[in-house]
Amino acid sequence: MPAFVFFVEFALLFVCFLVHIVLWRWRRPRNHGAALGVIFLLPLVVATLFLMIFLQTSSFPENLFSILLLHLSVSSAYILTYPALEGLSPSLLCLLLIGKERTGLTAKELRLRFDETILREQKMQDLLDSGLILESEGKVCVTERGKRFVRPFLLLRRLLGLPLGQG
Amino acid sequence: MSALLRFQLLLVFSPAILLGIHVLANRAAIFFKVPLSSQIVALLSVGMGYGVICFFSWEIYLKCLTRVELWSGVVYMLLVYAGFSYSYFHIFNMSETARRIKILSDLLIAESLDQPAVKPQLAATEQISLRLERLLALGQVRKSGDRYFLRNRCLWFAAVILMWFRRVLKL
Repeated sequence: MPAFVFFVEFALLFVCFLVHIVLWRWRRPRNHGAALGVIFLLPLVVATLFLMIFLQTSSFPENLFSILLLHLSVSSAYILTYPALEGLSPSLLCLLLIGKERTGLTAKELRLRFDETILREQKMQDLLDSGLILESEGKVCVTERGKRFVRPFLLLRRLLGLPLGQG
Repeated sequence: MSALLRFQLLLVFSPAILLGIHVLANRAAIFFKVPLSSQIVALLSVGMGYGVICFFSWEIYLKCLTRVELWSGVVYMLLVYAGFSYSYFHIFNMSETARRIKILSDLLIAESLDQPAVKPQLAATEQISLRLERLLALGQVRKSGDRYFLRNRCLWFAAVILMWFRRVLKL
């Protein structure tokens, strides 16, 4: 594997993270998932076109495919980590709170240090903002988009022979 | 088809290979009543996936390389598979623990629920207990009496990095 594959990918990731950080600090987009998809995948398309022109070839070089594959792999890992980053994963918060106390914490003490909104309302608001659920006259239902989003997870559970997750 | 292209295709299909391994491992664990948490089974499947991907990568492409090329080929393979397998593990974990997936799947089954009916299912005490159980099963915390202590700093370290990056992003 030529070294330039790693260098180009490093440069691509650097640009993507730079755009991501600047945009988020300036004005955080409402639909984070779509915005991250554009930020991380658009440079890939641009870089592909640029390299194809730069390499003066109409065929799809194998090294370009190597860059594409590496970028897709690293970007998808980050995009999937982002909800835990934004939504303050309760598991990670538990670890941070336990890690602060040398004498440890009981479940009750841990519960007292949690902000209730982190555990419930924030997620409901996220789902409403992303258009995955709809609230009308005190009733909540899943939108078509929400159904498309959740079905692959249900299919995965079925394939694995597992019941629904407990959240 | 060149050896490099076959190697790349193997990596493209690595998430599907991992899914196949995970389905077999999980169903075997259920059938033989192996007392392992589903997340540990998923992690073991990722590990087995490394073995499968390494073997076929060697057979298809890596064995044809020179010593210098071999190192970069191995690093490349490990990076790509690490990214895809991490993504797969994350998707599986979301199906297991994500609150949004829980809310959406409950709503999908019930078709619609009263707003207050959604909330009690997410009782804070229950959520924390569930997470502590998972962290115990994953060996990240230990319980001494009724107190919880850090056992393994691996996930704790990830949490510290995430908190730092939250500040960078002004979240």
